[in-house]
Amino acid sequence: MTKAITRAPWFGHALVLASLVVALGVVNAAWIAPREKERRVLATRETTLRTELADLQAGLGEMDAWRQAHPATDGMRGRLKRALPAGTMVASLLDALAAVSVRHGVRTELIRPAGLPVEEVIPDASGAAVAYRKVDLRLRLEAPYQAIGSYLADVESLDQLVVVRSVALRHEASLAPRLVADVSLWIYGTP
Amino acid sequence: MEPKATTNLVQRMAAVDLRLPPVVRGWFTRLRRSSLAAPADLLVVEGSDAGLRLTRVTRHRRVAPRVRSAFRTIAPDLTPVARELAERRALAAMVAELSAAGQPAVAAISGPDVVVRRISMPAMRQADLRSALELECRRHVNYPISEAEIRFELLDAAGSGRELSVLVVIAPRRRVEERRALLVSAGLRPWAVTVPAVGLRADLERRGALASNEVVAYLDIGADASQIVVLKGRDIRFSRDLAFGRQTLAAALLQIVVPGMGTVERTPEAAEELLLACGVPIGAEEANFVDGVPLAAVGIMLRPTLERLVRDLWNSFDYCNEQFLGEAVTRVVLLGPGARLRNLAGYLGGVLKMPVRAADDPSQRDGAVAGTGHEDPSDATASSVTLASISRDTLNFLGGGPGEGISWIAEAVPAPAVAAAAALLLVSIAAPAEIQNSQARQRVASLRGGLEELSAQSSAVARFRAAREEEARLEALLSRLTGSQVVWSTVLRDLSHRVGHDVRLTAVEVLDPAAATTAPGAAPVPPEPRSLRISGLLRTQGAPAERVLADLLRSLGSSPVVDQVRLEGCERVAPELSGFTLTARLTEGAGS
Repeated sequence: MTKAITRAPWFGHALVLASLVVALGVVNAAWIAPREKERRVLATRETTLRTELADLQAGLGEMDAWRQAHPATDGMRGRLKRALPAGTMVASLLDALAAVSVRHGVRTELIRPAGLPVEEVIPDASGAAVAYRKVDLRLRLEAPYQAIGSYLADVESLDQLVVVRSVALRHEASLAPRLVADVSLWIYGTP
Repeated sequence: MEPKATTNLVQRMAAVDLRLPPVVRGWFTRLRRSSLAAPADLLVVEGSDAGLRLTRVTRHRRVAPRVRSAFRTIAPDLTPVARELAERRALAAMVAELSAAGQPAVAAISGPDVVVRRISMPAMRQADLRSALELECRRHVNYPISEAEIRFELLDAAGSGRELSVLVVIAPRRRVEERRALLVSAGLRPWAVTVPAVGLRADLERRGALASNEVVAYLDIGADASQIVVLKGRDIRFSRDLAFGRQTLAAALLQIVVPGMGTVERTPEAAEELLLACGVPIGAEEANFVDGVPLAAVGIMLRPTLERLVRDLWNSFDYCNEQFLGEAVTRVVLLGPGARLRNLAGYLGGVLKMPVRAADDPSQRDGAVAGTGHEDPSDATASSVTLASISRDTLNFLGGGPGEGISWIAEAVPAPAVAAAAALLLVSIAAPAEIQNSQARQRVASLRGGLEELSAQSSAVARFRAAREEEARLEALLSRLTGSQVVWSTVLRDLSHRVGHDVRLTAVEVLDPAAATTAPGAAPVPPEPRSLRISGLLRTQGAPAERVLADLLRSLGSSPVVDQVRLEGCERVAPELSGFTLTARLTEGAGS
């Protein structure tokens, strides 16, 4: 019977098919599977690189957009405001204000703290509580409208943690075209 | 899995009816028929006591076949082993001579141990028929049926479907295996081993010469043996080998008794020459002389041999008459080299009292004949050409094995083609994986290149983002400290742009919102945004003060730093000067 089977015309075909099945297994194990693994690694790497490239291109686009929105400014440097120690923060601010007022021709008529320094505790970006000491400093200035605006812009861009809280303007005929401005500054420092 | 189980499984698979659409079924049928038909280049191996003959029949479409033949004598007194070796050497030499190595070959087997019978069996399933035939065939052979190869084909069902007419051929398995081994040893591809009667029927069928409504006896007279086959249509009713041939007649002329001269002895060549020259003398021809020998004496010498032939023919015809209820043989057709003997057909016709004619030699009829060896090449070609017409699935001792039903597919689609397809399949499976990886590698390399091009700017982008993040952190801190309050320099700049030339601000005052009262236990309510009270003078210059005031309100209403602009009052203070007061809410969140 075995001889009859081996002599059958389809025996060669059956051998080919059996060899094909074995070859499929071998090809799958020795060729397909390693390449499948490599393909997965390449796909992961491609995704990473594509993300990095897209992020870099987006960053370059953001830089261009920022330069157009802020001409003549250095985008590489961020606006910094540091909270100075509470003991020196008012003095440091007054030093800075002196230079600013001279630059813009603003005359300071009055400098007066409003109340005592107060402690404020706020959460930082990580959620941890951070304590600040706040001083409310009131200034009375005399200057034209534009000069007051420029003065305030410089104060707001100081690297010390100070906030222009409020501004009240008043026209007095005797001082025209200068205005009287009552400005409230909040100065924050570390306790 | 046991071989028997494998065989059954393959046979069951082959027997599955696929219910294919007619078009596909027709295509399969044509493919099956063409795959089972005789190849265009087929070799036929025929053996006899005198020797072995190899005939190569090459057919081309609509062109007469080319027949080339080779013959090698085999000594008749060899032992079986020595004869087998001699046959192998002879066949190998002839294969080389005809440049036929690797070609498909048919071998004919005949003899007393090869039986061709038409048997009636009760109607039964084909699966049961084989077992039933094995039992039936025991009566027809004198060797164990387990050592026999049985092939059969169903003829038209007799009666009303209650009986099956089965044409059976039986041969000793040993002889079939010997033929197969002989073909393989000579480098030929065994294509079929069958009986000559099947070849004769196939040849007649191919030529459309099968007489479907009369019983015809075909007498193939060879050199040293003959075969009688009785056919009615495709029905092989009888087949038998006869110990009669042209050389039998020639042997009768080796010694001729001539009245008045005594015994005239002739060499075998001279005897055969005389036989070919005078044939079977009849009537007035007997008065003639050839080489001084009266033809009457020749006729007397041939008569015993011819009478023996006639007796064998009558016996055969009587058997057919008995087996088939009076369907007598109506005519005789002579085939083979012996058929060309002069007056033989006339002699037999006169004795048998029925039409006898010599058919055209198939080889001479169909095309060119060439031969080598020690025998007239045309002697062999009649039966060889008929055997070269057989279909592989017809009573083939090499067929009928396991999976025979699907073997035609294997024949139609060669194993190298299957191997090529398998290799192609492997490549088609393996290649895409490599192609995909190659493409992925290229993409990764391209992305790397793009990143390297931009790498010089990546640090700038990082610094830029760090700066923006620092600013964002500062904004967040300020927002938490002061509640997203307005930037006063921006407020003043915006106001100066919006009030226009006809308005002069005289006072800007910040109004803190009233402290909200919170119910005990309730969540604290965020304080309201602060407001500005803006006072100033309108220069009307002849225009209504309302219009100037409306323009101012509209302008402030579209400001990003204030909203909810509300007029508190406007009063004329001079002919073209009006004072006004309004409030606007600052667009800021709650402060700390």
